[in-house]
Amino acid sequence: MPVCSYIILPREGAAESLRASLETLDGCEVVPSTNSDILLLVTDTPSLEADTRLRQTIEDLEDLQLMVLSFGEIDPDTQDPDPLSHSRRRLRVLDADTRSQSGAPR
Amino acid sequence: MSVIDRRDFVRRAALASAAASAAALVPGTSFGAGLLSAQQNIQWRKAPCRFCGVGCGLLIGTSEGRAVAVRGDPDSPVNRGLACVKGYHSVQALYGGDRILRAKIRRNGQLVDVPLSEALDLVAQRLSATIEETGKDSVGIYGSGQWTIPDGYAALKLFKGGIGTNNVEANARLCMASAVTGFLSSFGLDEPMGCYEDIDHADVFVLWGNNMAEMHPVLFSRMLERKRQNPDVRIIDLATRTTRTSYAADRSILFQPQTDLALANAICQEIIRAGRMNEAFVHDHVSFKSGKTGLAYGLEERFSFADEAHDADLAEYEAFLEDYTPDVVAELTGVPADEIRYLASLYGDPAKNVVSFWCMGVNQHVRGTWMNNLIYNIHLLVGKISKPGNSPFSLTGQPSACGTVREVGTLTHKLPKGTVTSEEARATAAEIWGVPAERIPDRPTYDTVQMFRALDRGDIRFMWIQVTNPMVSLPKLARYREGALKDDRFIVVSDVYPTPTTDVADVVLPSAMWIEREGLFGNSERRTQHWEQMLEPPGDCMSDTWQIIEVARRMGHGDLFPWDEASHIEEIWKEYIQFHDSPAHRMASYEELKARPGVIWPFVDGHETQWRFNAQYDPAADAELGFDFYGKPDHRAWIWLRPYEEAAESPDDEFPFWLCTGRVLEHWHTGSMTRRIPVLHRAMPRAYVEINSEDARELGVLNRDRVRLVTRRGSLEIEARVDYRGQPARGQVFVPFFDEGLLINDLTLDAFCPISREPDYKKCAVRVEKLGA
Repeated sequence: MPVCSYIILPREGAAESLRASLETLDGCEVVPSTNSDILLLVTDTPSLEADTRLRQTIEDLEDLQLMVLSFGEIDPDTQDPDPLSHSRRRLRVLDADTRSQSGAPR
Repeated sequence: MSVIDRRDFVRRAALASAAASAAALVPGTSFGAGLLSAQQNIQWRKAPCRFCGVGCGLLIGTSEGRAVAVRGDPDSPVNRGLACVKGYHSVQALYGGDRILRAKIRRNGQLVDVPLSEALDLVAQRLSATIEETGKDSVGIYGSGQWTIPDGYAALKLFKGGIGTNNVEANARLCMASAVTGFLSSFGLDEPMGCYEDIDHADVFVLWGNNMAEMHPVLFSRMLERKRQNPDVRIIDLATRTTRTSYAADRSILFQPQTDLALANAICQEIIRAGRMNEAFVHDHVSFKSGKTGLAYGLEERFSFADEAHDADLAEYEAFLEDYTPDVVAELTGVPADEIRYLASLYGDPAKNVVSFWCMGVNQHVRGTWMNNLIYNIHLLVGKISKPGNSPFSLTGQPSACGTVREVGTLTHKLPKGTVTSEEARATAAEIWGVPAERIPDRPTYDTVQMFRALDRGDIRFMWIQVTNPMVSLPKLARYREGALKDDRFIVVSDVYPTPTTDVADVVLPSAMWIEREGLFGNSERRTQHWEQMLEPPGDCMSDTWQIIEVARRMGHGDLFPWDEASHIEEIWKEYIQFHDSPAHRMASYEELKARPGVIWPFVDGHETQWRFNAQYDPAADAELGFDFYGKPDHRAWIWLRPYEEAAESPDDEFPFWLCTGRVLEHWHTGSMTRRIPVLHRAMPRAYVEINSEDARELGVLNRDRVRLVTRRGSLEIEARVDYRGQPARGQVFVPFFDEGLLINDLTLDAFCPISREPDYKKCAVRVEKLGA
């Protein structure tokens, strides 16, 4: 369940309409600045796929000028398909082939 | 904490992080009372960045026991408030989902969780038993330039002062050993004479094999800012591959791999021929030396080599350089003679200050020591050294390669002051440590590559690996992986995430990371930086320093570490700086370091020494001499006659391409931390091979096609990138090494510089085969 936060800059004069657009999207929490056009956006989605779709939707908004990721956390349950697993699987195979099973602790 | 509470907490942390970043981006921006309150709950404290050797000062924002935000420390003279993409996201490396939280012991082939005390007991028991069964030189510790200074000091003290073996090495051997031997052979003392402030005074920057835009982005930005304010500033990129650095340079000059040796000599030849030598400086401050030539490449088992310095003079040097006229060298290097003359004119212009920066292209080189010598030769010939804006400067890649590995001396031949071969150095160490001097052996044992060869042979049976990932980073990796997996080898790994190195471990110790413990790092410009513990370590995680102390106490060496957990970092620092208590290396007090954003050594009478060997700035230099290279007995810097020699392995009919390996902006070294940071992993999820577009056309390879790379060591299937962020010259390919799923080091060669013993990861021969769809 990814949670991300972004700094959002709207196009000139479009802060209110961009805010309204973002607030209609599921999983979006918007906090406007009290003295500038900057918006803070927190996204909370159920899966990586949903997170990717939401980001794409936001990036397609016409009123958006810039979107900068500030924070991202992905729960272990929904991490990317483990990018690091390939070599570990291979090593485990190697392990089974080559390690002696005799003697402590192996 | 319930799942709902935790998600709410993470959302609040995310919002606070964004608010803090926005406030840094646009000062004065506010977000209302609710968020203001959240922001006010963030506590900001200083720490050096966890990643590269630039040593940027960061401010870490913590809230409710969690690091939530990062900003560059505006008070840090290193980065002045900037940070790079890795620095800004650094705290997220603490929170990867597969963080190692418990100790593990291998049972029946599987790593199983055990209480930490049980794992520490086993480490101490096996370490003691191995010493008893096969001798003290059958055990070793392998750390890194990410060891904090106290980590490295504790390791050195236990193994050299307690156990009595010189089997202490660190991965900095793989990245900056050639810089060390270069400094020692040219100046008699390690580490740069200048500092980052040289950037603010330089008119010319010459980058030797150094993609600063990706590897040292904050210093690169500082250099670009210098040029923005002074449009006459020139940046010259000397490389074997076109990179983002090349695009920002005024001139990009590509040379054939290994021929930088000839190029540097040609610049010197042209400087002298054109009458641009600073004769007074050379006469007063330089000696000429020749060494052994026709060197080997360290490929032999139990390799041994010692260089010898023979006196030479200017006439002999000029005769030596006759082989390196620009016209002759142009043919070898592929660099037009006019470009070589242009480089000589920049170095030789008395009105221009010149900084040379280099990093792995020069250091990871089978003649790496020589290449360092040759760049110093250029600066010495024109007297552009040890004064503001004139600096030959080797950059480092790890946050404490200098502070820990080079200064503490966590290498087989080193002690905190001097080398193990020096009776005086051993006596000093023994006195400070309170051990018999004869306990410290007077001979080095194994450099890093040979340490892992010894593990493979069985001469080493027990190895403790802390805060590094050799099962990704060693060259010719398959041999060393298989060696670590052999019967009767016992491997202990202290780390924060599972890696291919923990995969070969018998015991895994969960380490506290960075701001989860107190520590000190030393960066590339001799700046020592302290940070305090900001967070409680998760699970059973424990600092590497305290792990060593716990094991030492279990082995009966507790008298070497008579400190309590609350104050041991301060006590270690106070003991350690006794080694450096002279004007040439005096270090700041613990209290000074706590209060300031780092201090450059030598720190004498409250003043940092920004430029060593120059009596105007350096209190250790003799004022009558002006420039005093006091590391050498003749108080002169040495110009070395170092020839061009071929690489250990060059392309041929069977393997027609050069293979170069390296890093990318998004990932730090083997990626074990940065691949847990979602934004960085998403930006660069997999390794790839860069192929020159004309070579790709001839091979019938399109962008993103899969290819097989084959060397004499192994093969790897990988995605091809053509006209990507870097473009190799024809006949060359480049692969980054961050991806443990695509282990390029299974293909590299373990040849090394015979003087520094640093491997050459930049040059071996490879074949590229197109694979079907």
